[in-house]
Amino acid sequence: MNRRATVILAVAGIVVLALLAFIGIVPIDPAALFQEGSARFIFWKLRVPRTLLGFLAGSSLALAGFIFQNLFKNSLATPYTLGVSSGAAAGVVLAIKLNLGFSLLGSNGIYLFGFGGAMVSVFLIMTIARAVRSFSIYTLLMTGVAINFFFSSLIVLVQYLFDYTQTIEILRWLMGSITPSGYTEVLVLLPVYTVFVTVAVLARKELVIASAGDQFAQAKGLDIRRFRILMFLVVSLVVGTVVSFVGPIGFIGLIVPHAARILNRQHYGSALVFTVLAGGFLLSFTDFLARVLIKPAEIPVGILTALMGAPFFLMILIGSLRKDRR
Amino acid sequence: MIQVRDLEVRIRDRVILHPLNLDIHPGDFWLIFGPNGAGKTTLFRALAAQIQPAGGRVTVDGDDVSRLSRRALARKISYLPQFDEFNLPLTVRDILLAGRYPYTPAWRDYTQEDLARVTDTADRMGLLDLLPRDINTLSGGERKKVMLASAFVQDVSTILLDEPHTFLDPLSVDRLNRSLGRLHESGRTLVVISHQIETLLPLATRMAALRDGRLLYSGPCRFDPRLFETTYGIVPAHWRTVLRPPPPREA
Repeated sequence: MNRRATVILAVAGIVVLALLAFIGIVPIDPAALFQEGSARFIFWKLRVPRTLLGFLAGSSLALAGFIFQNLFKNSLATPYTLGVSSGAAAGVVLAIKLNLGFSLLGSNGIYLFGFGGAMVSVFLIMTIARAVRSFSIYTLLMTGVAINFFFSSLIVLVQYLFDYTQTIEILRWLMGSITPSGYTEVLVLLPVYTVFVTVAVLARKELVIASAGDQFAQAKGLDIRRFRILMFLVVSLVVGTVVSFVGPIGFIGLIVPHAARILNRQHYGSALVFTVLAGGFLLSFTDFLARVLIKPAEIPVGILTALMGAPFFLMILIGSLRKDRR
Repeated sequence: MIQVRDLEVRIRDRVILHPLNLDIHPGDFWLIFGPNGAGKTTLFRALAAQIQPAGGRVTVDGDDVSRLSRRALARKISYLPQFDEFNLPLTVRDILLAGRYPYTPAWRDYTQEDLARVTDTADRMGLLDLLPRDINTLSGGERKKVMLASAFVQDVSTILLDEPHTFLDPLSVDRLNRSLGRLHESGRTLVVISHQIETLLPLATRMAALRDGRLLYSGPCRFDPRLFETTYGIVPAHWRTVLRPPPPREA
């Protein structure tokens, strides 16, 4: 994908998302935006922050997947491979159980517990890796898999043992949905996202070298151990924040970087730009479908990303396999 | 100059390399040979500071390799591992540019000069057309050439090559050897692990034989079927005549 195609994608994405914000359970007349009334409130206080949060979350998850796939030299790695999301989920389940949905220290208790849970996962992985003195791909992936299983079972256990209404609430969160309360989430995520994208752009030559494997990276002068820990921590902080806001929305972090790599095989920088843009647009667009497909009800967006993502992913994969049959 | 002093490597409690000494002088062309599992690759990984020795030390120009930063070491030594498996798509240009990494500060992009250097090296090695290609789609011979080119781009005085001849047909072996010869003539120090002893004997200046983690010989390079036999436990059929004097002719 060249520079022109990137600009077209960016402009088209922004225009489409802006237009879609007018469509919904309550259609919005553009003229009403400048008059007092419910239309203005719905547009500026509900739809716009929701679209923005969808973009930031999708873009962050896609970029996180892109970085993890390079870092672990594995195109099946996702932002959740190392158990960060299941840690967050366990935190949220705990918050719901303890009825901490109300405000806590000026912030939503569920968010704080989600983020805290994600950090517990990170802490466990770092502690174990430090104990065995290995930060190899194998150590991190295997520890992550174990932590994933542990927290997932814990969540199921809590669901099984407790109140039915709370179980529904937990299930609903686990499906992933983008329902911000005004601009708070966007304002928290925006600086995190900005730092994240900046790091990813600045570290792109390191990411290229890391994707060639540990021996190659070391031979070329990259301190792969330190780089892997640094990127793992950065990605985990971002994913922990995103997941605590929107739940563990799957597939975006797997398919977008993959599609980017297939479409931009020749150039790494443009694959990165594509990932950032397409990840954001895709999640925002899917969220639009989630709120209009069965209106006046909504489908949790996490269900749709997987439902639509899987066939779309297969299409790209088959296309690329046909092209070079390797 | 690379000095190896009492270098010992253990993995868990198993001794992989028994204490050994080696002096690699600038401009040397070393041939390292020995059966599989002799510890050749382990020796290389110790030279490249990729494993922590159990004892002894390796110094490059007087500096302990374990104390040098990765970048500083990569400005002196280029290590080309035996297996270069790339799962994700990577262009040949990316691989070659990585050779400039030791000279590029963190968080900065490669310069125009780096790009020019990559193009120039690719041109000289006949790799220009391959630059935009994904390394995973290249043949074994082409890959070896790309890896060698990346060592050129890295601009180091010493290159460690671990079995560069594997998977190559005789013509490609010959071409690779010519490249190695030119590298050596340009003043670089080469250390090559290979079983291609016959084809490398005319090129190498020094050799070392390893078996079961022990250094059997290190010194000037020479045709020595007996050393070959003690090292590998076998010699090529056409060398046997040299080993055993022909039976006395019947009068």
